[in-house]
Amino acid sequence: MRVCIVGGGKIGFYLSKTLMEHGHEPIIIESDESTCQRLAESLDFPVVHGDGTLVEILELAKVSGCQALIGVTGKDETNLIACQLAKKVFGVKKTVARVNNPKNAPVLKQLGVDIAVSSTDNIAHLIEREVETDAIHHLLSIVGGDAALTEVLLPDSFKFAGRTLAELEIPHDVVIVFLTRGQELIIPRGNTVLQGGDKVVCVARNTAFHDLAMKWDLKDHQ
Amino acid sequence: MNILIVGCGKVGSYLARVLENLGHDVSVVDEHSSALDPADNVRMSGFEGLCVRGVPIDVDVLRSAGIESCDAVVAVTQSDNTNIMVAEMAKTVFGIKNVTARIYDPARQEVFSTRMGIQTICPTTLTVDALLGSMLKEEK
Repeated sequence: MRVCIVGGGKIGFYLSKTLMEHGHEPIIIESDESTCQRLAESLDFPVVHGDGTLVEILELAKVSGCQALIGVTGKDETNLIACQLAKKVFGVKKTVARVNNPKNAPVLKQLGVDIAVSSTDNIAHLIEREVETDAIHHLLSIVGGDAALTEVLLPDSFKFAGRTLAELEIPHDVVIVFLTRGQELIIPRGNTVLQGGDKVVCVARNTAFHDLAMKWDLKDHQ
Repeated sequence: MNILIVGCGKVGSYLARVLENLGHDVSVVDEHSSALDPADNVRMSGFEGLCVRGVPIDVDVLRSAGIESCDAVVAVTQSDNTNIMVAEMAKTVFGIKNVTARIYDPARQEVFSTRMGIQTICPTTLTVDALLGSMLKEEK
């Protein structure tokens, strides 16, 4: 898949490298000349020097032949305009924008960007989770980082040990997918009883983890 | 009319004063406090409308400048992309019909005026047209 990346900072650099390792054909557009030079020296694919929100530069990068465009500059407006031009002028099917101000994530989606990924929000939530408790482990981000698949290790002194799931207080935005007890896989039902030491895998919105840690008393006991 | 002007440079502040003198309610947003401060921007001395300092592409900044009760929004910051995004936010997020963005780059202006349905002004083509007009007049 040919992918155009607008912005050659840290995210653009590692993203394009990863895409290439996975068999895709990335091309980077970067407006800073010395950054371009550095990228061109260390990467084996084309780097275009210029403003990725100019029609001429996007043409030069042959964006019309790309299946996707990803805007990862530090400016939300630049990422938005690059995505919109790619879609409207060059017929690119999939556009992804990095969101710097978390408040702009819904705005960018409303203005036609297919996927808006808020790096600030994602990192903040990830760190919050890690700091708050070591009982919750992040496995996979889904829907652009709005939610995550996570593994929760129930402490030996689990507050609700011996209770069934139906009796348990589970925050609204959390669903338990399965749990493991030692080597045993348990598909949860309302009558499944939780025990200390169980590993519970759940899907939850990022905003729900704090609530879950509070309700289940998962905070680190120091 | 209630009018919000985003970007308080030469054009933004001049427009604000003209509209104010015509009796409209005007508020302005700019990222830099110096643009709004009469000590740095003489044109703003005596301006009675609301001045909000903040990043324009932020729904809360636009809200605090009263965008929700505006009849018209004008985006005239130094950056084409900021102007386009502000105009699209005003139109799509806040449902304002009378929205105009200044876009310096003619190619970009063409795309966003014809395909995105926002009113645009391109100072580059206006200036070129005016220059051509005066030059050709000389020739005659």
